[in-house]
Amino acid sequence: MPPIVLIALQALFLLLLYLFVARAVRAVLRDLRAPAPSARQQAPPRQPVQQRATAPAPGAPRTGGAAAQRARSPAQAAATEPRRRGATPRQLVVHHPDAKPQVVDLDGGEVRLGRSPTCQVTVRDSYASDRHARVFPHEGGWALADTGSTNGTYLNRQRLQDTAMLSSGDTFTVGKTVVEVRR
Amino acid sequence: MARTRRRDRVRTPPPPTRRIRNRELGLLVLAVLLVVLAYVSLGLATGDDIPEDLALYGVALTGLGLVAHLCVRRFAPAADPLLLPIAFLINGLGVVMVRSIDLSLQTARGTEVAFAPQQAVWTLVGVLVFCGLIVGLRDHRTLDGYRYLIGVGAIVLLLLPSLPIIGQEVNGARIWLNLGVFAFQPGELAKIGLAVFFASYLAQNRQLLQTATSRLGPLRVPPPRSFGPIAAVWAASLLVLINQRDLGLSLLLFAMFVLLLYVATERLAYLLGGSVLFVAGALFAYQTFDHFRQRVEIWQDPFADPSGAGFQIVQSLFAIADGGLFGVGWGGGRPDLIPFSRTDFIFSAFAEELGLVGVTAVLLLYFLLVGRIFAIAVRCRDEFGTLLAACLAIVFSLQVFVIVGGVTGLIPLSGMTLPFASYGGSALVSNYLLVALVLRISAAPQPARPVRPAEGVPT
Repeated sequence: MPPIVLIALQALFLLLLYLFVARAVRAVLRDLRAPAPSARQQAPPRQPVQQRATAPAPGAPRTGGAAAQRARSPAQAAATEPRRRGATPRQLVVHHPDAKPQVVDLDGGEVRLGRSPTCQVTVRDSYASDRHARVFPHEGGWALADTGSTNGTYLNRQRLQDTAMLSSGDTFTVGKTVVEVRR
Repeated sequence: MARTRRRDRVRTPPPPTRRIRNRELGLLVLAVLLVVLAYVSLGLATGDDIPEDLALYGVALTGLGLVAHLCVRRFAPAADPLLLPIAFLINGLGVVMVRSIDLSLQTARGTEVAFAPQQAVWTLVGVLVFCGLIVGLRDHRTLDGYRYLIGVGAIVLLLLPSLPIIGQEVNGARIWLNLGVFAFQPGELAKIGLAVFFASYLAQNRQLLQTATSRLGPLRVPPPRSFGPIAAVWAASLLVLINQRDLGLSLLLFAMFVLLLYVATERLAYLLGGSVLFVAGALFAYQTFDHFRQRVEIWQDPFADPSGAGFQIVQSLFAIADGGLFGVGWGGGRPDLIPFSRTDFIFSAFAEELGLVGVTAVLLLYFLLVGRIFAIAVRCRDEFGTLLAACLAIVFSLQVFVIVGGVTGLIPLSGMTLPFASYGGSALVSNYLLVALVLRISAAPQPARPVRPAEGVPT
């Protein structure tokens, strides 16, 4: 076999090998970048409670609101997460790291979350603070506030600064415990 | 009303797993192409002809890749898309390299040498084990419940080669198990078992080990009750290994243990203590064991006795130098001149035939694999999964570092296989098991998943 063929084959092999590496690296980079844009897209509509003057009325028909939400931003919904958002929450589902999920109904007053046994939701989670966060009724809906936790509360993967309104489909984390907000 | 709402929840589409799996498929196709290309160029370089068995091997390789892929697609759709193709590629290139070594030995000795077909069979076994774990183990947390069983099982596996009839001594290390039809190194499997045990135990006792409550002389140490079992298992495994003179594996277990303690507790003290113990142990071994002292002396100056003690390293260095930047091409090198080129020194064979550029790519593949496993560890929700993935990443990366560093003269050589590349069935099967475990962890349900309605859901 003429050496030139072998050299060409070797070059082709090395080229393909690096193509493989490049594609793998691209997949890694895509994974690293992927969550960021969608999080940014979701971020702007989430305003602090005080500025939220146009919050939906408490008695607004839920199905209508959801349909309007779907009609308003189908592209955004498809691009970010195929999950319906926006309705008034009625339940929290607490995914404990080492126990079965716990369902908490939002029908009474404030729900405090933390490690302390005095909280309505006690999490066995060393990353959570004793009094970590609270969910309380506000302007006909429910709002989430961090109560001075050490590691912070993350609403849809973004650190919660002060207080924010919750809508169904949101998830927030208290330490390592993930809480899902449901209709 | 309630009915429609519930159906809504069920209809919530799953995350875009199909795109992830398609990415995996694309990479797998590329991997198969690369292996076939390597095999063709090997045939052209050595026999002036495309190998006759190319069709057989090509079809088998494609079939294996497809089976593994479909298994993952069906049973772990959210799993990481990179691990399987990278492992598969390194494995395939390793088999071609073993074939290349076979051929060069054939020309040198004039007798038939056929280790590559055996390695191909082991690849088949490895992929089957991989699929078996993906299908059989639906949630990695199941292993958490069997921690003591797995820990004891690992120790038993380590002890087996010391038994009279089935144990076998090869090259001064009693680590082989002769099962009649084939031989097996149980240590490779025990490694993964110990990783599961350590991860599971540490996940449960992490907090206790973080606080130093008891006193031992002037030192404050964690409570012995929480530290005891893990120290016992670890010491037992080390004793067994030193007894069998398998320095590589004992080094690996020691480092795995120390690093995992650090990962679990984030206490620098464990790392410092481990380093002190390591230095002390190394000094002790240097004083006591002749073969250990010799290894260090060879490392310091391999050319002091190039045809005697330093022969292995010197031949390896010559091979790497011969490769140059772009390598001599598949089948163009003389891997028959490197001792143990099939197992420990396969990296030197790669360096000769693929050159610096080629082995850099191979190292990048290992780097991606390990980085990916660490990323899976960080992303995993439960502590057991996090620690297990981290532990497996540590095991894998240490192995690559120790053997590549050893054959290039960076650190003293200790015998170890290059994961997925070296000839050897036990190591290959164990490594496929490792990748399957990590894939299972990466496919674990994510927090935003729709959960089944728990009791007490108002309608």
